[in-house]
Amino acid sequence: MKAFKRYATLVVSLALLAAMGSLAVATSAGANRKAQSIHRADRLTQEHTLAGLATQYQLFMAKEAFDYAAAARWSFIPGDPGDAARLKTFVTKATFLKYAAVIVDLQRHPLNAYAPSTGLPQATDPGYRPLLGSLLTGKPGFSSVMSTGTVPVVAVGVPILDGATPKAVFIGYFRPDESALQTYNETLHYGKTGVGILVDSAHTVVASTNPDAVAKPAPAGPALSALGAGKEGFSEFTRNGVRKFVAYSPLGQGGWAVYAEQDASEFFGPIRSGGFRVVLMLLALLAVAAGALAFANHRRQLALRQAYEYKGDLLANTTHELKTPLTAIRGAAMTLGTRWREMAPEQVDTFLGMIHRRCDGLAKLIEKILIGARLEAGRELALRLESIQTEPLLRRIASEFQDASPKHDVVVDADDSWVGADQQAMDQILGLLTENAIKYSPDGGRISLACHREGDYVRLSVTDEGIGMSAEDAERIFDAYYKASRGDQQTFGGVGLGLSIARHLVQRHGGEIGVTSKVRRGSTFSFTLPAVEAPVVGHVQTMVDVR
Amino acid sequence: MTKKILLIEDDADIATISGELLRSAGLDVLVATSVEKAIAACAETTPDLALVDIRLPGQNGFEFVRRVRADDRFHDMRVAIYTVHEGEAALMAEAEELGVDAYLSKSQTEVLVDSVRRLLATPV
Repeated sequence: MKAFKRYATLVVSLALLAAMGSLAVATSAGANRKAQSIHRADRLTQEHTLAGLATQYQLFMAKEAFDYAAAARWSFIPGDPGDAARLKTFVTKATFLKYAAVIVDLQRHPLNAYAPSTGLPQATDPGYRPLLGSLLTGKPGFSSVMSTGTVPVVAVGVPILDGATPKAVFIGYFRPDESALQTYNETLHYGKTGVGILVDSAHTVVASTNPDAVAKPAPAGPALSALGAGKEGFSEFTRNGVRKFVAYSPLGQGGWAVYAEQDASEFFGPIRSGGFRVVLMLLALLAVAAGALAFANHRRQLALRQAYEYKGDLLANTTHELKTPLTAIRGAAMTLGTRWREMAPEQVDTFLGMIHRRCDGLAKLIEKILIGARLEAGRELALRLESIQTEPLLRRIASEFQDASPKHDVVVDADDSWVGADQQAMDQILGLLTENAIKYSPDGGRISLACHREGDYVRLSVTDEGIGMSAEDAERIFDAYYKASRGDQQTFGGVGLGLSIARHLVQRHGGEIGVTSKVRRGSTFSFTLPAVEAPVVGHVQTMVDVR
Repeated sequence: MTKKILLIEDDADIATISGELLRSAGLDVLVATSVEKAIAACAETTPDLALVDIRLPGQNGFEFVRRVRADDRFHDMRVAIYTVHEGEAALMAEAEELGVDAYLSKSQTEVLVDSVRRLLATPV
């Protein structure tokens, strides 16, 4: 049991630590799962939005080309100024394909063109292949990102129909680095490390959140591989030692696709920081537990040291308290024995009175020490409960102490209360408290003994105008031998057992004892005992001594 | 000339008994109940011998010894510890270190007068 008590702080601290740690981990893990799921959904939504916009953009570009190709009345004569003027009008008014426009015959020979001075890609540019491939299947075609030598361009081609028969091909161009898609992409935010990318079928960047990446090959990754197989999805991978995630979707036209990448450290930020928080919490808890243990250990050592000091002080104190009256008794007896013939009768009386008084004091002290020893050994005191009227009891005690200490003013303030208590124990409690009050009061000080009914209890108190005590002393004043630590035993004497005995006796009656005090103003010790309504003759309850 | 004894003792009964024994032996006895009062008494009329208890209210008896031993006015005064703590090595060692002339037991009342006379006969 003692071992358990000794390690109770450790066990409780560790249990608390484990419980709080588990709670922190569980809470954090739960929060992070939620955060991760929100982030993942968020990223997929953003990526789908990007895909949707890119698809719409492609459709608008194709529609713009279709509309113009169908509306214009082409001559199909190579170099025809009318067709050239129509191409210029288109480029000037175009919303999307506003870089250049060309018409070619079905054998891919140029018929007419309108382009700025930065020119057009070579007719043999392999970037045209996907465009032409699409056209052969009857769909609008989108080229890969090509270069005029100075600027990047993308071509969108549609057939010019005569009824249902293709007569030629209309090709409109736009600059990916200046497209609305690029402008939109630059507004997207994927954190510090994230990018949203639109790629063509050759995996060249058509638009990106990073404008510098446009018209350059997209970095390899699982997204491009998966997109090559026409799949959309979400995966994690490592590039250059950096863990990343990517969400990707193919578009409907020309083998284009969009994907969004982000470093996992940032994407999974909530988990990392959550984990960090958990570590911080655990460290804080460990620090608190370590502090508590150190404090507990310090207190235990302090208590142990104080206990040793108490024992030492107690021995010195008890020696003094026992030997001084014995010395007085022995000295008085010896003086009387050798000198009584020469002494005046009143002097003899003084010495005899001295012996009598010191014997009584010694008997009380020994009784106190014996009771203290019994309590320390865990042996209860036997009580014989009976109905006691408190006022006569207080008056008797007051009178005894007034006689013994005429320099103090001992007064009584009592109502007509009765208590169920042991007569001898009550004498002891009140005697101990009153003796203390007198001991710590200056000559002329008033000692008030009071009792008043408070519901089921009667509150008895002893108030003095003495030296009082600090809050710290008040807290421990009922501890056995506590006075030994106050360093005042040389001034006031005593072994420091009275109040601890008083407390035990009060508690044995089911009452409570306490003190209110102010330094240099005085103290009030008060205790409660069970009230009884009227004297109950013959009601005796015996609590058997466990000896 | 009657020798003066200063008894520094806070227990009134012990002071009465010891005082009676010493007076009956023809000695003058002054009683002081604290170190402060004892120093004041010494300054007024230097006693031939101070019998000082160890446990006193406020400063203890050793403090009295320390103070009078450091004061030239009391060079000729003998000082003896007068205590119930006889045979306690630590206290006796401290007393000896402070240069007391004797360490007397209060319990041995019957030898008090002889001890005091012997001390007074010893040259300072």
